[in-house]
Order: sequence, then structure tokens, then C-alpha cells
Amino acid sequence: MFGKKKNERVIDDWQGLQDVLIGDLDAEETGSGALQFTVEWKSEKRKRNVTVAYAPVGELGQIAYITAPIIESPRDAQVREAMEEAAKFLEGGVVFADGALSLRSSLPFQGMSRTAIIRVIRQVSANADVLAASFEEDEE
Amino acid sequence: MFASWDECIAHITETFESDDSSSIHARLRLEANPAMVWNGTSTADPNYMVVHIASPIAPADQVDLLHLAAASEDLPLGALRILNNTVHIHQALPLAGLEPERLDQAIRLAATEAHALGKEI
Repeated sequence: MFGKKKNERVIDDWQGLQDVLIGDLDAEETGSGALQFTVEWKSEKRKRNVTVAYAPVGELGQIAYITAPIIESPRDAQVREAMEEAAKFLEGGVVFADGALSLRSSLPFQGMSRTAIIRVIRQVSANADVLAASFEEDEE
Repeated sequence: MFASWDECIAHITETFESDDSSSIHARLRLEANPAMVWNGTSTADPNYMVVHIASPIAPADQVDLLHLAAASEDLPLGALRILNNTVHIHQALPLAGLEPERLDQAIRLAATEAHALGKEI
């Protein structure tokens, strides 16, 4: 059920994850040790900045913090709506980080395949973009 | 590592005290705070399954949600969802490759964080 494709690269540490983010997603260092890149949906003419930071967390192991902003200066109702909508997603919950209401997934990535990690990153960024688009429509 | 969700939920109910459990979920009683565990499957890839962990903080209409979201940002897990009108700490762990010890630790940590954020209110 959980078989991995042959030759699928497995990521074991932050260095390995950085290699994937820089090599596959054109990530750049933020200066604070995290990496930042843009996930783009060209057909829909939308894109979202994503930041991936790292920290070891006790027995949980190595955690990648995948954060995609939703909206800056949110109203109370938007904070509530984001938290309610996040409950429908497979991954991600709401935090307020770097001045923006954001969707974040704390992913224990050690032993995960490159493909699986990229899938989580794309899913979190897509989920954040769905919320962002919804709020943009409300403003129009 | 768990070979299936059935193995995972069996481990959870053997390891933690539960008030209520089924083949798809368990409501756990922990020292710090209660927690709920259930499974989720990707609609895009049915082979990709996650274990959802959530621990309640407070009724959503009785707290400053933005303040909680800012406070949670500093915690190791820390992301918030509203379930049944209650703010929860939430974490999703991919089931593939998940070690039982790591799952146990994540459940305890979610409960501890929810308890800590409850004090922020």
C-alpha cells in the first residue's frame, strides 16, 4: 500500500530537503535559515510564496515548517473563516506569521520521499491560495 | 512503522486511554488535555493517507482568534483549525513511514500545546 517507486529519493535530513527545494523548486535562502520559493498555477494565473523552515523537535524528529500566506491584516471574521475552512483540508492549519494570516503544515519529513514532500508543499500552497482567492473575491 | 491504518488505530487505543473509539477515530484522555485522532485520505491519491491529531483549546466565539494564531506560531506544532465551533491545535502526519513513537510524541505534544494556548486566553 505504501510502496515507493524504484529509485525514489528519500530525504533524511535538512541538507537533503534543501537540495530538493533549491534544485526542484528554485528556492532561495531568506537569510534567517529558511528557504522561500513561489508555487505557480500558470493556467489560473495565480501564484503563492511559500517558506520552508526547519527545526528538530525532540522525539518527533526533524520538522519542516511549510508556511504559505493567506492574507495580511485579516478581519476577525476572516481569521475564523480560515480556521473553519482549514478543517476541510488534508494538511495545514492557521497561524499568524510574519504579518500575515498563513496556512502552515509542520511536517516530520525524515524518511519521506522527495515526491511526497513536494506533494505536501504543493497542497499546502494550493489550500492557502484557495483561501486567499476567496477573500480577494469578498473584497471585490 | 504501521502497515495500515488499522494497525495505527489499534496502537493508539492500546497506548492511550480513550473515552470513545471506532475503526476510524479515537477520542483520547491525556494528562494535559484531551485529543482526537482520525484518518484522512487524499482525494488526488488514495494511497496517501494522513493521521489527523487535534486537541481542543476553547470555544471559537469566546477567544481572540488572531491572538491565538500569533501565539501558536511559536509552538513546535502550533497550527489551528476550528472543529465543531471549537479552536483546536491540529497536526496531520503522513501514515507512510510513521513510527509509533513519533505518533505518540505528536499526540502528547498536541495536547500539551493546546493546554498551553488555553492559558494564553
